[in-house]
Amino acid sequence: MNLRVDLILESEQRSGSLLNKKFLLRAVAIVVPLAVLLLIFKEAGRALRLNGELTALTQQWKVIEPKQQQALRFMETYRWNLEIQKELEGWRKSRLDWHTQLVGLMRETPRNIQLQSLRVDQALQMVDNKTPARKFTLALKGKAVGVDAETAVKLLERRLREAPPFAGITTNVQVTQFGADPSKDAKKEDRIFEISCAYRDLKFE
Amino acid sequence: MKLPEKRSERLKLIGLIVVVVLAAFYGVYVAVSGHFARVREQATKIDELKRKLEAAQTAVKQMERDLGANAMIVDSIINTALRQGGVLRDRLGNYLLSAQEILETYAKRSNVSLDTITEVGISQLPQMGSKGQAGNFRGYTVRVGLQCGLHELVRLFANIETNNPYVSVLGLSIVGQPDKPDRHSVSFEIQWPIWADTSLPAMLETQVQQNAGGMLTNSPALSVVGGEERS
Repeated sequence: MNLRVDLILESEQRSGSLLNKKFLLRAVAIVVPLAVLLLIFKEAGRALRLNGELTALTQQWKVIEPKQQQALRFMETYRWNLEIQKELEGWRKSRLDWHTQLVGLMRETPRNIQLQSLRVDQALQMVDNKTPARKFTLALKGKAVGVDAETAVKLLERRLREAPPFAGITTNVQVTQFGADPSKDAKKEDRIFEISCAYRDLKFE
Repeated sequence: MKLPEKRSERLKLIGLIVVVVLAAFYGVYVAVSGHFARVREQATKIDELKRKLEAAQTAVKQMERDLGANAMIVDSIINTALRQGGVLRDRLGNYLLSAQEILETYAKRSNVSLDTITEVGISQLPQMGSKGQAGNFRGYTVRVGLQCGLHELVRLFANIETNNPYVSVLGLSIVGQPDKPDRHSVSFEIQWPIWADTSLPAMLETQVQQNAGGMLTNSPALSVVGGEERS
């Protein structure tokens, strides 16, 4: 036969462990509100700091905004002035100095060639679909006399391609007509000719 | 504290506790989310203001850097286009009178006489301005007829072309005359740039005066130049 004697009631029993339910509940009851309080203080501080920063920046903006408006107006004007200057540069770069070309032509024409007519034409065209350019062409009609007539015409053609002031600016030089001179007073070896000469595009840029 | 013995009362108490806890959570949620929304909004405003301030400071600094360059550009335009006559100016809307005067002055200097000066007209160059806009200039062309030797013609062209870097001889025809070998029949077309908007020179002059007075950035003319009126 077994005899059982309860010396303390079940509700009076205590745990031997340091971490018991009651302790944990008390700890949570202190730590959680403390953490919440800390968080609230931290957030309040942050809000105050942001508010102060916003006020200071707004003040700065009020001061600088009119200056920015001035600067933007100035930049617009500056861009416009640059555009005018660029356009004027375009006018300068797109023209061909014809006094230089004529001096060159007089100098480079062989002595046995007599030019009878000269014609310059200009056409405006778009280059690369975006830049307007002047395209000049020169057409010469003349007469070459003597046995060296053909050589002289060839020489003139070559000089129009290679000699200054034509070198680098003429792109296509060719004799478009060459034949015996039909005029009554012409000698058998005299020749008439036509030379056409295209210049490179002179862009407005 | 003990829960009530009766089951129904116990359930009521638990229900009440749940409601109170949920209400507390909701209250905290509303307060916290409101706070964070305000903070987020402020932070966004601050970021935006900082960005705007930085852009403004950059613009102001850029303006300070470009003021000198702009003054030089305006001076250069005024000198070449206006004072040295690079851009042809009208006389009460008439460009031919100005062109005639210039051509006759150079013809006199070159010892040639001009037979005819006729107006060809005003032309617009395609897409001269940036972004395909019509540019600030148009071309004004006249046709000139004369009889002279090649050397005289070269002198005339040299006088015209060296005195104005923008004027351009567009077309030229020289035909020899069998009966006068030293005098050719000459005809040429010559083109000047003219202002597309005749009020622009006055605006440029205003800028020069303001540059001198250091008032450029406060200029009312700038708002006209820089505003929609130019579009």
